[in-house]
Amino acid sequence: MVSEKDSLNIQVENRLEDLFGESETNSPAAAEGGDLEYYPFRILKSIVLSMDWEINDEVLNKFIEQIDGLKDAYKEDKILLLFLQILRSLGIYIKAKKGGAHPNAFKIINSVFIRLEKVVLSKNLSEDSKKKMLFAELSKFKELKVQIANSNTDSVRKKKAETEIVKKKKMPVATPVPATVHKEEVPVGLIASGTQDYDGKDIFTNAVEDIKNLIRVEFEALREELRLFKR
Amino acid sequence: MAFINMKKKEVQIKIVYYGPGRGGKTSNLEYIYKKFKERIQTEMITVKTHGDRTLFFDFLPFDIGKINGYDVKIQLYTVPGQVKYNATRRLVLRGVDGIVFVADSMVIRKDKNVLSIKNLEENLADYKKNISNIPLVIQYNKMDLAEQGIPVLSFEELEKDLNLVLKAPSFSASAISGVNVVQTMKKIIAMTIASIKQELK
Repeated sequence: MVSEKDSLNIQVENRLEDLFGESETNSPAAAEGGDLEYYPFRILKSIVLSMDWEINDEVLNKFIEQIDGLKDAYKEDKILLLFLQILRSLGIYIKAKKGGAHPNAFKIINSVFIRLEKVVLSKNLSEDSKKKMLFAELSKFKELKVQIANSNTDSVRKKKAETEIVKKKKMPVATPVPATVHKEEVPVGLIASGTQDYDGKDIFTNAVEDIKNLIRVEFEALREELRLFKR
Repeated sequence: MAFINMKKKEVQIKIVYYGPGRGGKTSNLEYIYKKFKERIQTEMITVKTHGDRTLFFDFLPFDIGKINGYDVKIQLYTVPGQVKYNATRRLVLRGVDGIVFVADSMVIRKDKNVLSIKNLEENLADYKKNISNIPLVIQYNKMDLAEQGIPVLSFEELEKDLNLVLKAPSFSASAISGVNVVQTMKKIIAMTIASIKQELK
């Protein structure tokens, strides 16, 4: 005789089988990496996969270090070198900005790495297809640079305006975060710079530093690009 | 405790996918949704922003039909895994009936798994729930990365780190390719329904 508990289990199993029943591969035991072919990008991949918002210097230094090693190993392959250069520039930018980095920078790191892997692993991929992939990522990267430049200009304007308001009113400005929402959980960029009394000179100096950094990164990438295509 | 409407003979069960950031919680739900959307006839609601990360939660509701005369409605949720979103995690855990802890098998994520399961324990305690008593399934995700030469922890190491005391049912999985995603979900649903039935006695 089937007990009440068993009958319930059978009913649940049947219902779940009706809805989700299909050939599903069962779990393999954790594969051991012993007989694997050597894959030079595995450490870089592991770092890219592990990048998250709690980004720190240690992770980014490893990331840049890996790229430098790979650049050296692939110095004859212009396409791979450019992929690596884009990744490096993004790494330097994120290292400088950390949590304040433009959100698309993280997306582009992932997408550049996915294409880079395709180029490395697809043995039958033509040179033309590889170039197409590279240019697609290059254009995303350039678009990001424009977005960063625009957001820097916007933030300078916004901060200047805030400074003027603070100077005129000489009183704190309320932070527009609803009482029920934890301030730390509001997406970056949504919190207005509340009660802080800004010094216009500091804001300007910071903005100039930001722009300088951006120009430096851009020039570095351009120089590398030119150097590679001149070869 | 699940929401039970005796008049309508309806039970709503809340299952939360918990775990460290970028561990594959959203990928679990996405796989289920993409693969079975024709059968479950529902929409997955997801709030993604800031580099494609789950900022608030994902939500996948579906009906599994009648069990013991009751219409059973399942609601799958994920939480944001990043450390700083604890208030959101706590909020999503309110009224939870069953939990899938999605651990990241990569060696470099070892500590984050441990921190996350401790955080789960603390957040459940806020609701007077005990991690040892609540229906819980542990999934060791990203095992497929080993095939690409990326260092991952073995099933045994992960069990030792996360499941030595809890002794919860566990699966090694790959949410991206779907390995053991449905198995995990079936297990937690079955365990949760059995637990609710037990509580109602």
